[in-house]
Amino acid sequence: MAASENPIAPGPHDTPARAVLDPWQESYRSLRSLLLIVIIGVLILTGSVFVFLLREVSATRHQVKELTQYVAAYEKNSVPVMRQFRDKLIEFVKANPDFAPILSKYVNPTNYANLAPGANSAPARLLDVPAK
Amino acid sequence: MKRDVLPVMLVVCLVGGVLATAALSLAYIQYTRRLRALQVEVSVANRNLAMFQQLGAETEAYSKTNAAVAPILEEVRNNMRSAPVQPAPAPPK
Repeated sequence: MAASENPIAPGPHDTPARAVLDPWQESYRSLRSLLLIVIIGVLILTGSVFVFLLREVSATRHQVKELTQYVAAYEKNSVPVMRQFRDKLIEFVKANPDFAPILSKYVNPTNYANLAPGANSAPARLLDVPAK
Repeated sequence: MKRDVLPVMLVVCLVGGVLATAALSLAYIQYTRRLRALQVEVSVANRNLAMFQQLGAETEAYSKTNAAVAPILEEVRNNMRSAPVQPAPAPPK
């Protein structure tokens, strides 16, 4: 079989077709390379954000744990002492009205005027002693 | 065929990374909300402790003129020895 009769064999006729295809192939290759570069870039960016968030979450979790322990210790140890002190002073001020001006700076007088000792309602200025 | 493996692997890695980052972002948002709520509680606790200590100091000053308040102060001191008031943790960065 002669070379000119073989449809697969390159001949002088397919030179223009190759000339048309080559720019498309070149564009395809460059587009593919560009896509790979973009994917790798986004992957690096995502990895960086992931590492940053991992560190932030770790630090935040540590702080949450620390503050939770502090608040729990405060509610367990300090609140009963403060509440007891407040109640004793409220009782004391009934017998010693001259102490009332001092106590009224910290405990709203309207709150302790009719307050039964040991009641859990928090006074207005010693605001947020939480009732258990 | 071999040429198609690399982009597919990269895309799979990318999707996995994006999903993991999204999950981590949600966890971060939740932890941050909890932290803010706790910070408010801690600031309230610190304010109450400061007021308590100030009231104690004023009561102690008053006890010099009226000794009847001394037993109350003594009792509070004993209670504080058994359950010491801790210093507030350092504020977060």
